[in-house]
Amino acid sequence: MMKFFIFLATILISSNSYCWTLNPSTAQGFNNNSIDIHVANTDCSGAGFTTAKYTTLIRTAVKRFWNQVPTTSLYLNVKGINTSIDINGDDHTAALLKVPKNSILAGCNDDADDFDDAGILGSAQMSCTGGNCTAVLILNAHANSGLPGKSDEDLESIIAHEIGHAFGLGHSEFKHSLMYFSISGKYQRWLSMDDIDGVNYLYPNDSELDILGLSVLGNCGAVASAPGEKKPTISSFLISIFFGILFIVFIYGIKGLFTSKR
Amino acid sequence: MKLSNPKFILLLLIFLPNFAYTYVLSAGTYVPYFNQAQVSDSGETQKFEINPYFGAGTQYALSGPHYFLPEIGFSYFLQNSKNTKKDVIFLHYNFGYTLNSQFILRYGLTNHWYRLHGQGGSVTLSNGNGKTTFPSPDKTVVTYFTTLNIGGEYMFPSRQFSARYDFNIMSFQELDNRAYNYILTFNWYL
Repeated sequence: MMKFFIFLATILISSNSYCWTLNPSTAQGFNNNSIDIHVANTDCSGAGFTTAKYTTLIRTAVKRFWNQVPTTSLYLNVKGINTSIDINGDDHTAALLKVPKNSILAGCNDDADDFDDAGILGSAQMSCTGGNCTAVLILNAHANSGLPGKSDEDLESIIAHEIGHAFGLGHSEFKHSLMYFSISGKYQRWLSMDDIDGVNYLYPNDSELDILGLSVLGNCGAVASAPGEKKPTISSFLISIFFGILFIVFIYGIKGLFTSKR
Repeated sequence: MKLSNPKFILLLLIFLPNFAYTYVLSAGTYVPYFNQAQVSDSGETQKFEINPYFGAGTQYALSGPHYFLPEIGFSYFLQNSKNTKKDVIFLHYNFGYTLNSQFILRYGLTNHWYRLHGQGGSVTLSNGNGKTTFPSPDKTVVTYFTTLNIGGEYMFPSRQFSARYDFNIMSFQELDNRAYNYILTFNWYL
């Protein structure tokens, strides 16, 4: 019996590793919960795909991973190819200057100085000044890139990982997490609880409960439909009806308790 | 006091026991993101986890076989890390329908206060071909969400104890990003 209690006490106080972290450049998320992702006019042929395919991969990556978390207010909105933004030949710092306010820009880079190691498949850089945050997500399109030959699922995982950096997350110590530094030797099908907690921390559903105001409970898992805006959804409507019914049965129940046997 | 104020809900739960004919204490486990959170390198998902759950509620008779079963609960996560702790506070607004002397069908809504407590500091982790120092979360953040619940309760023959399973549907109005939790408890009727 004593062994059981020792075992129980051990697991109750166990704490042996570090979980998700924050992007070292900013240590914060965007100020808006709905973040646009633009795809730059960029040459990704060295990475093994076209810009159009890149856009499709980003859409799927966002849908498979980050937009699947109902407990956060984050919503990533992939805008598609923005032909007016050309980052060919730009390094991360130069590309950051071309990012529209409060959004993420995705592109490729074939500069050997930025990607001097085939093991580096992509990188992201985030910058926040005042209330405005921007980020770039750059995939390795250099001749030595390890991206060509990767399956679409792996490419989506790599892109989703870099998007995680772009909206404020750092790496995780857990290998099964999307935000682990490497994708090799694992199959990333879902986010881990570690990834989910990271995005919950940066973009929580943090409004006050406002049952009758139709403003908060509508965000329970709902995504904002416009940047920075939380619109009432059908869930808030249903919840309001629920509380209306609750109120009626409450009154009815009090009456019933006084008239029925205990 | 506005109905929108969470204090009103708490007062409601405090007030309700004056009319309830029985109280119930619960202990069990809370499993978030059932079958949707990756737990292994091969892509396996979370099916069961021990995150102690404790609850206190009432069974409030309505009419016939119908009950209102408000409960306040708390769960904390065993697999906390060095840089973050987390716990959840629950306000359950469930209804019960007595199917027979042993089974109760449960349905309703739950408000979740999912709390992440950052411990601060920094961590040095691998970053491609080198090491980078990443900042750890350093504040407490609460994310609120509401679930639709469907569950069942089995009353043991003594009728003083029961086993209960509540399945919580997050984002129940969305088909694309729906996710699930469940709470499995052993209950003691006072």
